[in-house]
Amino acid sequence: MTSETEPGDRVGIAELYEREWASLVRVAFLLTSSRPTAEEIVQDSFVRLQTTRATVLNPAAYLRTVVVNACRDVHRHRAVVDRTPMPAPEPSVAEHDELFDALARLPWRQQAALVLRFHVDLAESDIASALDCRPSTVRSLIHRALATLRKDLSE
Amino acid sequence: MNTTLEDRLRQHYDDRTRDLPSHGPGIDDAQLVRIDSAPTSRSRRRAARTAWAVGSVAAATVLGLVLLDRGPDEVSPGLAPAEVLPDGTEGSIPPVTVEDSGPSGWYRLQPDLEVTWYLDPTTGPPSNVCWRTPVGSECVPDGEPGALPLVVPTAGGQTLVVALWTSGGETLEVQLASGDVLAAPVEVDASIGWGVARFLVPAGDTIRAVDGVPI
Repeated sequence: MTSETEPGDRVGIAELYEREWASLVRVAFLLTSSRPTAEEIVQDSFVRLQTTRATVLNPAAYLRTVVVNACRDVHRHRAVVDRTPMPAPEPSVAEHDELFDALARLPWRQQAALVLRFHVDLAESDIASALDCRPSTVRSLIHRALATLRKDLSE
Repeated sequence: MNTTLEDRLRQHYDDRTRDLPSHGPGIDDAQLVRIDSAPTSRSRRRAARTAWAVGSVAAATVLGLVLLDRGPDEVSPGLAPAEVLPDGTEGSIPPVTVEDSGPSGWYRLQPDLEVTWYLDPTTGPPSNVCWRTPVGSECVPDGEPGALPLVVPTAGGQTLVVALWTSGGETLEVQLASGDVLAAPVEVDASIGWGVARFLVPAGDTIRAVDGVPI
């Protein structure tokens, strides 16, 4: 994506919305296990893009970063919510299997790196941008995540 | 045929997202949203956000393009609390939701603002988020999509706006019913990702939107 949006660029944002909404919701859903939360996060990310006063050079990457950060905040908030159960994954789309459970046990950044790599097929540099870390850190996150999964799934 | 773990992950993610919609609410949907009606319920607030996000001209017109496209005249300097909550054993609890019939311990976000979360086991979810300042307190449901942003009155005629802070920016803007736009520095609590900005809203005016999101 090479286009950019100027503040208040409603046409550009509408096109971006058409193109990116579904992908962003899928990422948010995989990271929150809640469709309403995922849709809310994505809507809010477009609101933030629409109302920002800065020129955004890479709107798709901007949106992805905002969505990932918002998912992290949801996760962080849930993590400190004592004795309040995590929302159950929607039964129609998420079956509890050993891979689901193993993924859920991973640290959040490893989960996010896996989703961005193996679902969105992002390059390491783009994942690094979304997670605000170095590409080498992304490689480490994915390597460690896969190693943990292999170990968990073999037991 | 061997399936690699990477392939299993791709298949797993595809399976989990298979039933999700392939596109968002369209402009026609947004035009059906009556965002000019009093947005007191959470569902209306969410619908208004949806309308806003799709960039609907209709939605923008209803809410007032001028209002949103107009930047703040200036970022007001950081205000100091006029009064602070008393020191005590409260104000230092971990930011967790506890099972209780009402607010008990409090987590201090600002010298004059404390919050807490509780889940009434007799009623079940959603949990509640509560705030208290020197001038009052209130509890609101914390279900989907969450209670934020909170607009909280505090001492000295100040208004605190509490928002989930994901932008990394240093200021937060509010749009007033009069059309004025105010901006103020945000203080972020890193442990919960909430930001608080402090405003002096002119008498008779009210906050209508926070960072472009109607409330």
